[in-house]
Amino acid sequence: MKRAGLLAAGLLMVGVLLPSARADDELALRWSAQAGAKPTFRGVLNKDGAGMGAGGMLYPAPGLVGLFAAVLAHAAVNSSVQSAEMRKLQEKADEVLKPYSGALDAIAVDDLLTQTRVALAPQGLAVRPGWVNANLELTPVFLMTQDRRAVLLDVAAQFHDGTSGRPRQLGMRVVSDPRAHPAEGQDDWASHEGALKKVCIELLARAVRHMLDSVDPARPAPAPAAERTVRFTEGGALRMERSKVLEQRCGRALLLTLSDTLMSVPLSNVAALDAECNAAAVPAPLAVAAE
Amino acid sequence: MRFRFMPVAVMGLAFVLAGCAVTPPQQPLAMQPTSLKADAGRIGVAMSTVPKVDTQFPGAGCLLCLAAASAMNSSLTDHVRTLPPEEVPALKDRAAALIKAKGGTPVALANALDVNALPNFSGDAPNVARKDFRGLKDKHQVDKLLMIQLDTIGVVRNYSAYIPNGEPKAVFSGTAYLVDLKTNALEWYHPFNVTKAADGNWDESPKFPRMTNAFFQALEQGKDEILRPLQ
Repeated sequence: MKRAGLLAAGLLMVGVLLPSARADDELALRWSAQAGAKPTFRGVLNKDGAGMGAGGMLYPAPGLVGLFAAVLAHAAVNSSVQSAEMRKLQEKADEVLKPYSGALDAIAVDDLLTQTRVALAPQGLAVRPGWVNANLELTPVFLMTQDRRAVLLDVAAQFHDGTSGRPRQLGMRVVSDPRAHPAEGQDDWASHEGALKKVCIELLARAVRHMLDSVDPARPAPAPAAERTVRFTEGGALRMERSKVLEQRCGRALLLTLSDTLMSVPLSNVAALDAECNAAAVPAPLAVAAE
Repeated sequence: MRFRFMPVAVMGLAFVLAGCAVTPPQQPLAMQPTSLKADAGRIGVAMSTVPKVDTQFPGAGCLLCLAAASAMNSSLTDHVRTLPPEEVPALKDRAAALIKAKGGTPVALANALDVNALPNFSGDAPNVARKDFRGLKDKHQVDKLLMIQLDTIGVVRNYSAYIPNGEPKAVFSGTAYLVDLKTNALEWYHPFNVTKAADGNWDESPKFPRMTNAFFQALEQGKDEILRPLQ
């Protein structure tokens, strides 16, 4: 009887551990040391109005050496003023996260990675032909828009296919589909445990899938596309990105930016929805934004 | 004796104050719903010459400061000069198409219009154009003129003598307005100044991808500023 109990407990433990265990034919997904022990969250920063206006400056310094010293002192002061301004702007932008501090504290790196693996199942992390003990190391930063309607993921990654010596540097930004404007006191990202984590998992899974596709040697190269300014929604705001459209379906586009990084965005134009994507397949918040 | 110079002093003061008086800048005017309809008559659509895409360093006032700023940003300037003012030259035709879609009768003027070459309009009534556009009525057989005046396209970096006051920003600025050619009155006045910073590090020579992205964002947003009120 005791033996049967132990066996049952053993089987239960295997069952619990199985989802997070990595099969040999799966790519290893890692959280980089630089990314810190907790996921990084920030408010989206707008630098368009940053910096001081144009102005003159008189250097009351005798001689060439004096003038040189005065210019250097001016440069040092200006630099520290600009740094302080950027710090202040970022602090102000980060205030958007205050209502979500509880939800953000509850997001653990291990859980995020495990859930991302689950979201990518069954084939998302499968080793592709030509990879040996491949791994992808992520350094993600999550950003929330000031209108609290979308989360962005900026992720830098190192991909090691196990065959070449040097890891490949990858970068991607994913913008979540915009949600409806949360009513006062009814913000499920703040009140429902796991709601914000679910968004982060979706963003991470999407980023990993696109980045792995981009380094898959068996995948055909995307058809050459013309560079253009693509409009998309970032929360309730209209944004633009100069890029090549690599893929466009179901109201989203995968872009190759001028910096040679990938970007996955919800399109602002309802006409962009493909005929093959029926209305039910489109997430409700996107359908609202596209109207 | 003491008051002999008083009238002279008063006149002098009045002269100085008159010299300091500045005409207040024209405030933005919203487009009226009927301004572009069929009964508005023929609406000429004109645009200034498209400015050359370039860099500017306001605040680098002295010659040596300007030379230092130009040298410091030479790589950026070289790149910015290669960027096309994409679709900006076609703004006039797009504006004409929108007027037509509203039921109006647009007439796109073939050549660029140099507003500075027009005579000044006498009078300081509010919401009246400072230049006299009335001569264009008979010349082009139009009743109103939609003018797209473009000022700056490119990248601006503010300076304080030798030292930059911040990162460079992509800029697209100008004014769009509608003038009644019978009275020279403004029926719409919309100045715009779109400024976009690079998202992340701007200083990535030689192609400056983030700065280039900001440039095209500014262009797109500026085009919206001009065309959206016409929709």
